[in-house]
Formats: sequence, C-alpha cells, structure tokens
Amino acid sequence: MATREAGKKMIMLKSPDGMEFEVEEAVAMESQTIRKMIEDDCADTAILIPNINSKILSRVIEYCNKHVPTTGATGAAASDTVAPAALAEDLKIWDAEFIKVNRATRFDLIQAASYLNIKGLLDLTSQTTIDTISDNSLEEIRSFLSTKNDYLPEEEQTIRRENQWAFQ
Amino acid sequence: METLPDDVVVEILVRVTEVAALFRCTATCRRWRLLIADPSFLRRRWPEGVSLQSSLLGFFALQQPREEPTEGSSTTSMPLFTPVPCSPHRFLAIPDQPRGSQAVVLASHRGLLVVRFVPLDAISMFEKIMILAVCDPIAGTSRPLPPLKCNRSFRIEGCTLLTGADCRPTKRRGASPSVYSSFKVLIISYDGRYNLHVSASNELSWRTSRNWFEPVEYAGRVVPQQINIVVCRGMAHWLFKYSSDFYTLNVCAKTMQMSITKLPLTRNPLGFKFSSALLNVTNDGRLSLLGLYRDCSWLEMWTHEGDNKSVDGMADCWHHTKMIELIQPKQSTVGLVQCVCVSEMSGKLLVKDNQDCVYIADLQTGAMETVTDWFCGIVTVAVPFEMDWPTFFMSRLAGGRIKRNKLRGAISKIASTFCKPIVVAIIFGLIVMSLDYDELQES
Repeated sequence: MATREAGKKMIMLKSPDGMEFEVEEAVAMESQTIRKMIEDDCADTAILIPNINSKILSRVIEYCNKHVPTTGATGAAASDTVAPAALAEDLKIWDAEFIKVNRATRFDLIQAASYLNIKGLLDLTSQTTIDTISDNSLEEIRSFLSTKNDYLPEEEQTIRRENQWAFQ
Repeated sequence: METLPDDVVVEILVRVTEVAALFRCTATCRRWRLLIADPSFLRRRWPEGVSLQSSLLGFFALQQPREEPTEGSSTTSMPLFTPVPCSPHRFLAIPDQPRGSQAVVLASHRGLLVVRFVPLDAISMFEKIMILAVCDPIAGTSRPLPPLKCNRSFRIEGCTLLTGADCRPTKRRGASPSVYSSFKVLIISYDGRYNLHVSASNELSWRTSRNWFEPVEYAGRVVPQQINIVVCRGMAHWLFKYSSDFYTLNVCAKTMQMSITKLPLTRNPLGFKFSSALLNVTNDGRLSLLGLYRDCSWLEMWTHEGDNKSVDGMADCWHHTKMIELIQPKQSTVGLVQCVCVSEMSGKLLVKDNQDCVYIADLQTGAMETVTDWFCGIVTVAVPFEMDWPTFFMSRLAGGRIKRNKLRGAISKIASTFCKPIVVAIIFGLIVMSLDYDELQES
C-alpha cells in the first residue's frame, strides 16, 4: 500500500487495534526494525506492528516525525544555515516535554522503542527512568518500578552486609 | 516493571551509570539480579577493549606533609587511600592492620593488594624482616603472608601478585580473585644485591633466587624504575635502568623461569631523553613502555608485539607505537619530571612536576588535569587501585553465591578460631624481635 504523495514515499503502519497510520518512509525508517522490513522488501502492504496499541504508536510516530533528519534540498545545506547547537537545544526541550507522561505510558514507550529499535527514543525513555533510580533507596526503586522483592529477609541482609559500599 | 520483558528491563539497567546504583538494583529482586549477573549484560555495560574509565577507583599513596611537621603531627594522619571523584568507594581501609603499624601498599592487581606493615617507629626503608599481607579492601578480608626475612637489611624494589588467571595467559578476564583463592606473590628486594622472592598462597615460606642478576650486576648501577611489577600474558615484568639502557626482568607466572631483556629502544632523532619511564599493559593486553620526556611534554609509547611464548624472543619485538602530546592545563607550563604510576585498565597516568604538583593524564587523548588537591600531602609513591567491574559483578552475583558464602564463612570462622592465636603470636613475636628491645623500654 506504499503510495507516492508529493514526491515522498508513504508507508502504512497498522496497530493491533485496527488503527492505520500513514507516515513518510523516512520517518518510519527511524525504526531500525521497520527499516529492515523495507529494505528486505517485506513492506509492500501495510506493516502490522504487534503489541503496540494505537495510542502508543501515535506517540512513537510523533517522536519519529520530530527526529527524522531533514533530507534532500534542506539536508546538508540546512546544517550550515541553522546552528546545529540551537537545533539540538530545540530537540532537547521538545524531548523533555514529550516524556512528561505517566509511568505506565513511559514503560509502554520503552517497550515500543525496544521492539521497533529506535535508539533515540529508547535512550530518552530509559534514561528518564534510571534518573529516578540513581538517587533512590532500594525501597523507593522497588515501589517506583513496581518490582516485588522476592528475596528472603536474611538473603537481603546478606547482600547488604557483604556489599556495604553499595548501600552507604 | 513486572510486565516488561527482560530485554526492556536490560535497556533500562544498562543505562545506570553509577556502579553502586547498579549494584543496588541487584538487590531489588531475583530477576534483576539474574539479568545483571548475565555475562552478555556485563559485556554490554563495560565493553571490552575500550578504556574503562570507571575501573579506576583511586590511589593508595604514600605522602609527606606539605608543611614542616610540627610537634605531634606525623605522616600517619595522611589517609592511605585517595579516591578519584567518580569512585563509588570514598574510603577504603586496610583490613586487619596490626596496631602500631603503618600500612604501605606495594602492589595492586585484580582488586587485591600486597601490603607491608611498617612499625610506626621504623626509621629507614631497610629492614631485616618484613610483615606482609594480601588483602581485599572491598570485601574487607586479608590473609597474612609469611614474614620475609633476610640476613642483611633490605628494602623492597618491586612487587606484584599473580592470580590463577595470570598463570593461564590466554584468558585475560578470569574470575575475580579473593584472598582465599590461590595466588603467588613476587617480591624483588635489594640488600646490596637484587633478590627475587616468591611465595604461593599455599606455602608457609618464601623461595628466594639470589644469583639471577649476575649478567648485569657487576657495576651495581641498576636503577629500578617502577615498584609495581607489570603482569601481562602470563609473564611478570620489572623495569630497570642500567647504564642508560632500559631492561626488563621477565618471570614466567607458571614456571617462575627468569630472563633479562634489554629493550631495543632507538634514540629519539632530536636526542631527547626520557626523564622517567613506566611499563604498562595496553587495552588489548600487550606490554607497553611509556617514556616521558624531560624538556617537552610528550609521551613516547613502545609496544611489545609477540606472543611471549619464548622468553628469549622478547627483545626483537618492540615497536615504537605512538607519541602522545600531553595537553597542559590552562595557564600553566609544567616542567614534568616524573611519572608516578599508570593505571592499566582506565589508561590514566599520574605525573608529578618539580613543584610537587600532581597531574593525571589520559593516555588516549593526552589531556591533563591538575589533581594536586586530591591528595593531602606530597605524593611520593602511588599505587593505582582498579576494579574489573564485570568480573566483580559476576563473582559477587553468581547463582549459588549466598549458599557458598555461608559455607566459606563457616570454614573461615573455624579456621580463624584455630589460626588467629598462632598468627597473632607469630606477628607479635616478629614485631618484638624486629624492634630494639632496649630502646623500646627507654621510650
């Protein structure tokens, strides 16, 4: 179902809940998983993206749209005219705004970024998550990441006792 | 997080930059522990073959006070361990340090230290008997070595520790050793002659070779260059200078067979001379020599190409690899005089100038940073302390770790109940012997 529109190749992405998203090929190819499908000529019809619902997929596409490198006439020349630093700064602000989502959505986004292999998005979502890990105690990490502690109390004591350096 | 698949959790965990935080994550639940202890995870977190910046924890340094010592102050108030800013360990103490002694770290290898306990009232570096121990400052464990005795007073000019993994040179990363695993300690002493002493972890005494230095010793102008003996591919190498040429003493870790090699370094075309030189191991596991020029801030690097299989074939395979320009910190021109030490894994060189300021140089970029204020006093000797984190994590987190530990704890408890009084008696006896008894009573 790849079509041409205003000289740009379009790709159709389908979420399991039946929504269809038409995106530029270049945008879709931000995902290494989709890029591989396209390059292997598996993408003639719409690509079904399993496990990612339409709400998350639309956000992922939003991210890719913003992060796709400008190509063609505006490509190499653009980097000379627009200061790259300003561009990067702009993206950073946009990212910070983009990642202001609840925990469940962020985990869904990590999962999507991992499956679709979008490095930038994976970095952004994972980094935001681990920023909360670094400064927190074990109990806070557990509650924040909703992980259950399945150690026996004495096992946990042993770990703490033998590795005091990490728990100071 | 329960619902996230493993590879997604891995994506998050691999981005935890702080080592202590990553270790804390292993204590959250069993699943995370398994994910983190997985060799493929650890390889991703700490890729092999690149400079492992985070492996350097700090330096065990001997320091002198900057000001003239006043009444009541002594060098013992100086902390032994100086951490680098990013080190997860801010304080590392020497475990089981006998009372009334000062600890001097002689060598550091794979997270273990060889430590000498010097009586506080010792005046010179020469002694007839030396109390030594191997210790693991992170685990807080130690194991005494047999006391090293000589008929004449001697001082230590070289030292290293060889682990089981060093005796199997094909594997660079072995298991992280503990003070309970098997090791050999090598010491080079000088008592008018140079002697090599070896003691293995299962031995109760030292084996000493005395005559190995004959080929070059006749003029007695051997100048040791480096106290830590460098271990590379199953060989231990000690650098010394003899009538303006550099030599290495090579000892096979497995057989203890010795040889001496004159390094075929060609003179710089401009005629500059090294003011000091150090042996090091490159990231891809080859022996290298770093030479610092006196008059300009360049480092010259030579690398040994060869498989080290034949002891005699060493000499011909040294190549001039590169020049590293040391980029001086802003608004200072440093007259660099001396390399203090070099850290193997993280590729950092500690240098001292003629004003006793200390700098750390990155061997990849040559960038230098002033680090004088890391130390409290004037650094005289420093031993870098590095940790091979992947190995460390694997050893600490391996499957049956907790059970094994209990067993080991029980064994060591039983052992220490029986051995401690004996060891204490021996050490105490030796301390008393080594002190002048009359002087002790007078004071």
